[in-house]
Amino acid sequence: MARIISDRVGTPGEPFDTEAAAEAGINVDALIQHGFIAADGAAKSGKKKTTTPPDGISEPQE
Amino acid sequence: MATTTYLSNPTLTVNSVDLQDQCHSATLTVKYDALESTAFGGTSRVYVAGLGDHELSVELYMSYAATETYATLAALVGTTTTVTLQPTSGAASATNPKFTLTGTYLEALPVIDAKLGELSTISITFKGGTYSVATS
Repeated sequence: MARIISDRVGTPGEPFDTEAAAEAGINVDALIQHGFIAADGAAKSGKKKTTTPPDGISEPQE
Repeated sequence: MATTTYLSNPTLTVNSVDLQDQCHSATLTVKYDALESTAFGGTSRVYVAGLGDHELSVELYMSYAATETYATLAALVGTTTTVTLQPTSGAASATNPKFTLTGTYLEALPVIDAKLGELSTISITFKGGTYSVATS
């Protein structure tokens, strides 16, 4: 399941059934890649950083 | 009585994305290979339908803004998707059939086609796929 972001796909905020869409021949990855929908997990991830910067590069302080 | 339909408000979706406001021309051709089945004793050539070989050709205004033409099509080149076309907006019905090509292939995308002083437009063609019509 995903969430609609662009009104070109439907009502923003409404759920988007990725399984049904895939069965109907829709390229769901393309919709996610270009920001039409967001996977529910990705939408909830917020700004949390999961990567470590390479040695010698300091992260900006927020 | 002859009638003419001026399609001023057809709806087009590509991969579930509504591109009506970027489209100014669309042609969906339903075609089946003609397999000759003429036999001895026949006086005219006769044919039966072979494989379907349908095509949707559309002309779109190009836009590189978020969730516009380029964003819709960029990831679809060389893949299959589903496209729909309806004569007018609104629910599918007998007088407003919804034509669908499922699993249709986008072979090529002109990523830029620009002329000085003109709006940029592109022509793309979806090839093959399963054709269906919904009237309800």
